[in-house]
Amino acid sequence: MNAPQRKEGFLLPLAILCILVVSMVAINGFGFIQQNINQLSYKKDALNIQEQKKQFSELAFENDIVEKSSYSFQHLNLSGIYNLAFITRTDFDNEVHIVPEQLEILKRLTESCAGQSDLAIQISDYLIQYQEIKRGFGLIDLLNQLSVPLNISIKLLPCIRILPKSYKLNLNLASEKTLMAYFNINNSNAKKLSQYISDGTTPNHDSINLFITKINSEKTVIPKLRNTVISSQLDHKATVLEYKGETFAYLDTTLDKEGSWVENRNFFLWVPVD
Amino acid sequence: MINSRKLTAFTLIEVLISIALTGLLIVLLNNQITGSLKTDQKIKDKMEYKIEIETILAHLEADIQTASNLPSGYKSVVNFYLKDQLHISIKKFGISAIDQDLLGAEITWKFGNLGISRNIKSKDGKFERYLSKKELQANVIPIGINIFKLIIKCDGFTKSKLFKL
Repeated sequence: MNAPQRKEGFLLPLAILCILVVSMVAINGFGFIQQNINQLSYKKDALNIQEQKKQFSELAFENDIVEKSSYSFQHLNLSGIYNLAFITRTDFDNEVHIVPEQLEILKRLTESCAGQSDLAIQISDYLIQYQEIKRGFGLIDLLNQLSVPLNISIKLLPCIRILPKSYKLNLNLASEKTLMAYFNINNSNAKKLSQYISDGTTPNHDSINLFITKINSEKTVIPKLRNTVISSQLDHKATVLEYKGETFAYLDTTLDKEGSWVENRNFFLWVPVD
Repeated sequence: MINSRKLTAFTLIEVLISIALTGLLIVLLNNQITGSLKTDQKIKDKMEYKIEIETILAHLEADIQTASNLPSGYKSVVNFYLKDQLHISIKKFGISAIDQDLLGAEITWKFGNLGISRNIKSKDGKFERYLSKKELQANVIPIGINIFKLIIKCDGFTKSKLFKL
């Protein structure tokens, strides 16, 4: 009777061994699950931020934005701003050249807006490397590529933009500062021209050319006028988003060939998550 | 009075075999426990390293997503090798840690024998932070114009991720 009981006694170490193995597996499994749960919450947060960004990006396409108390939105018209794509031209051999008279315009604009006329040379030296400017490249991108301090970039934002060449300067929406730099005229003449364009006294390119030749008989602005348009139609706008008075996003949208508004370049400095 | 009743007991052979088996089991269990602890540590280290690398790659992806664009419309990201280290250079915007102002910055990720580091060059100065000090090998394989694959290898561990520019 005692013999079988003694044999069973040897099962104890085996049982302990099994428990040990099971506990090791369980501990590792628990650690693995715990770490994955931590990662999951991190991924959820990232997805939430992405979702918020998407919702804010949609605001650029809405005309009537319902404002919440902590948020504010502002649409800016950019069609009357000088397009940097004008300073280069590509010849039949696909070589890119600087257009001297457009470079002079850019020098005047960078000088009047940020007091930095040398910046025009830096910009043209950079842009000459590219045959084409594609959608999705913003002015802040360009100035960051050139390592221009952001305080200067911010001064240049209301003066220059960068888009494909098809986005012409809308003289009807251009500021007096832009007209001054574009046609190299003084402030009072720019005021007059702006007034004449808005009241229809100079409704087309010929009449604008006539206005400029009256000021300076040696001047013809016909080549410059090829990059301009006189229209009340917007083709480029920006939406500035603020949260409790602090700007957190700049959404840049353009009108495409089909006539629909599309995203050009969105800058999110940060995203409010509440 | 001496109790003369005989009690059944273990024989000497049984006791010796039992002692030998117990000893053997103790040695085996000891080995097993030590081995399990080592394996457990190895698994933990590998898992922790995997998560560390995944977090680093997520950080790199966030840097690339927020990078400034080029006239081609793609992100301003440049990959090159220098002194056996892979460098991923990204131009982006950031907020100054000193005065909370907006600033442009150049972020350079370095992967190589010194581990993984993230270097920031901005108007605030130059900063370098090591995110992992484990020696590794890193390669970049371009896939199309605007996609590249980053492969990280070390001690039998391999991790790769695709990045869209």
